[in-house]
Amino acid sequence: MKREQLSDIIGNLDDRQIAEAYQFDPALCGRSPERIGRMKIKRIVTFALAAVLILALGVTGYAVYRGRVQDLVMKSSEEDIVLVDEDSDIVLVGEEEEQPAAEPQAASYDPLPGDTDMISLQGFAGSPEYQAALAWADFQHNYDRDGSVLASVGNGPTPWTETYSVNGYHVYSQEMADTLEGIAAEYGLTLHSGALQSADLREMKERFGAFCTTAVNGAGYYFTDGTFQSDCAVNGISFQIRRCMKGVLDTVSLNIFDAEQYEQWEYTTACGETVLLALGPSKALILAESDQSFTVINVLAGSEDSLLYGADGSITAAQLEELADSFDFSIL
Amino acid sequence: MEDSEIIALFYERSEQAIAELDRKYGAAVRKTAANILNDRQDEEECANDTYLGVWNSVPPQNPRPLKSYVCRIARNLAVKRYHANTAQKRSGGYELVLDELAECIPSTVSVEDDYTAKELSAAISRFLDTLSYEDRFCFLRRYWYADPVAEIARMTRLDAHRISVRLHRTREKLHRYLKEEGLLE
Repeated sequence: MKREQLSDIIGNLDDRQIAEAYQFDPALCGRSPERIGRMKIKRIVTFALAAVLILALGVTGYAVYRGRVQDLVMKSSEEDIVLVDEDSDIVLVGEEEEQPAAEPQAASYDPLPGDTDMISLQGFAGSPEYQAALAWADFQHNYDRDGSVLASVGNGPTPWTETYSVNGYHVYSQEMADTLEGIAAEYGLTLHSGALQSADLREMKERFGAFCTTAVNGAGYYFTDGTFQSDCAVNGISFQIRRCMKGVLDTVSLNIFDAEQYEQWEYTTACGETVLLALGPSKALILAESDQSFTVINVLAGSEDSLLYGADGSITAAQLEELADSFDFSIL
Repeated sequence: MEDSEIIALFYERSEQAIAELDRKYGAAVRKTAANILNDRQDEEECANDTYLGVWNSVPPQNPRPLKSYVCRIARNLAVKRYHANTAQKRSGGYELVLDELAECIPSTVSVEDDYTAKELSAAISRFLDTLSYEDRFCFLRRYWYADPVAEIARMTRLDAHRISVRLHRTREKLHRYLKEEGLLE
């Protein structure tokens, strides 16, 4: 195709979309990626029982795996509200919450039927990392609901940018800063150290070890405390890996739609570590925990071959195991 | 001034219409042109040609919304001038934008007629409707408005690297979508 034709094809996109992109409107960020969902009561009961069981078991290394995807679902202490993100991306909690959620478009396509579940990427329920992330998510959900505080701050740098925002914390008022510090202190955690640093996969591997033997290209970011995230692809399957260091308050969560729809099994990988594999309709997860970190690999493909939710297509259980084998969890 | 009032001035054939249009959308028109062209004089001429285009088409047109109508004229004129400049080896940053797009709509695709081109445009629009607002915004700013990634990052307050990753993933999704639609081999 000639470049002129390519240019013309893009040039003829829908007027409505061109007008929408004329100016960035933060209020629209809540339109489809983020809204309020409600968890089933029975899942809360299951969750509570599982949490008690996990607390009783305590934490050992990878060898004794003790958790399911349901044990990561973030349950608000206020009613049963969770934040959701239709984009399947791992997102900083509250990143898209800068403005109050707008009403859905009357004619908009709703790609998120039914309940949706956000999971903690910091650890299972009962862990201080999980509890702290949930406490912060709760606070953010209820803070500045009408956007007036944010509006008064404006779009420029704030007094809290250098201390918190560069470390991945969505803080734009002293009250938010105090709350964040208070939550960290309450659960005995520290905040991310060093500003968030962008890096490609090669640099990540140099810094954190060859954690994935097959992925060559990718990019992401890291903190000096060892927490990192990277987007990669292996054999056409895209995934995001996030390692959260224990002892650190991290606030990132992930939308997995419905935890009940995941087929889950333990699997001992080629490196000898046992992980949990979970295969859902539109995405799959690989969960690994050690004494020092909690790792979630968000595979952008599920058991159903669909472009819905932005999945890459389908993946079988065997392919998921093969993908898990390409990681060296012993160094994560 | 409201768009309807500006359009009313065009209908009255009042030269004030151009001034008001420039006052409200002049910055956007020049930016759209500047993103594609690499020459200040070309940008200014493109802006003037845009206003002339609006003057010649309104009436009978009554464009709603006016902003996308004006930007579309500016973009079309800038692209036309860009291709003329490219032939004279005076290309600018728009080259990179087209290179990125060629990743998901490869040159092996044959667009023999207007129908196929329009079908591709319509399919891309349908695809964009499946994206989140942020991803759709980033895609359109990059490939329709031809904004640099750093500029999109400034607008969205997201990290530039994150924008690049999002764009990369959106291009991959678009490629798969077009294949599923049977528009790519």
